[in-house]
Amino acid sequence: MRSDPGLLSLASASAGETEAVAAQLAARLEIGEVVTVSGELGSGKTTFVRGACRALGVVAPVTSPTFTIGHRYHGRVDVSHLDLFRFDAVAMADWGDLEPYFDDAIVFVEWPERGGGSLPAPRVEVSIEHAGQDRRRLRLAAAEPALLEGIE
Amino acid sequence: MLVLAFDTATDVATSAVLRDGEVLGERTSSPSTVLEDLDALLRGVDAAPADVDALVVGTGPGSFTSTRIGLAVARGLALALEVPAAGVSTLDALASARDGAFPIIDARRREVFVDGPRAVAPDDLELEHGALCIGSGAIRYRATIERKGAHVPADDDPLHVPRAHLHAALAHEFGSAEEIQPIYVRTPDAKVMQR
Repeated sequence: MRSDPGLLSLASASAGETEAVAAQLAARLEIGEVVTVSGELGSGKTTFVRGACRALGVVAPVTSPTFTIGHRYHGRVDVSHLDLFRFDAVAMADWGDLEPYFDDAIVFVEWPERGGGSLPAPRVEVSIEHAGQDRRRLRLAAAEPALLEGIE
Repeated sequence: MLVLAFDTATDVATSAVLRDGEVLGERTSSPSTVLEDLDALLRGVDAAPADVDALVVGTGPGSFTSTRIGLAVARGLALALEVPAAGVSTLDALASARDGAFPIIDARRREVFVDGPRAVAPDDLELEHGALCIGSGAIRYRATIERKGAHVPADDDPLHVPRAHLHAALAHEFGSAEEIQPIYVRTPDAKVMQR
């Protein structure tokens, strides 16, 4: 546990543990909210989003939308899964394509850095780092510390 | 003067044809069929596209894409027909259906578009007691709005739907369609970067 309010740092020993953290977070989110997920290639960003999607009732396969930019899943609520890896910045015309993913859905955005600061403000920012073999360091940051309370 | 008016900014597209202020026809459909609607309206009054004297287009607020569909149609037609155009706020047109009505458009993402124009959370709406709230946002957040002491007509009340003949009635300054800008109040638009 960290003393810094609004910042939660957790160790994950497996993809399953990463999914479990994501599931706890997902249960606290509401439609219209955005979560960014940052990390190097292979760090487990899509794993995190998959865990969140399962918790939200999505049964469809959850795969990286690197080449399709976005997926929209239908669970108990709609969940959008975006990957901005192929962007340099989000131009006006791009935003016309992206905006519908933010409407009436809980939204997870991989590679938010590539959006150039043009996305709706995230409720939570997640970053994932390699920590040797299957281990990962998960960092969750939220403007409202209460949102992260009790996640383990 | 023959006027074509249309608004695609919300989920419900509206289009109308008027001659000297008299409504000759009006249609309700979806933004993707607005050109077909305009064509049908003209045929309905035995008019050809070349007979059109002016255009009126709803400028939102609405989604990024739907507001631009209307603007693109207006610019294309204005260029082809060599006619002037006027832009009218979708909120203003909705409000003009009834004296004192307060229009609320669903902005998705748990927000609504209201006078300002701005996007606000339904909980943060400041409404006068007994205010008549109309529009897609009023329907969706009926419970919240009624809890604040305001009134929302039945879901199927026509007051909730934009009507293009009202846009036409509000249009006054006609000019180049190129000059008409969509109303898009979401922050991402302001921060969107140039490539």
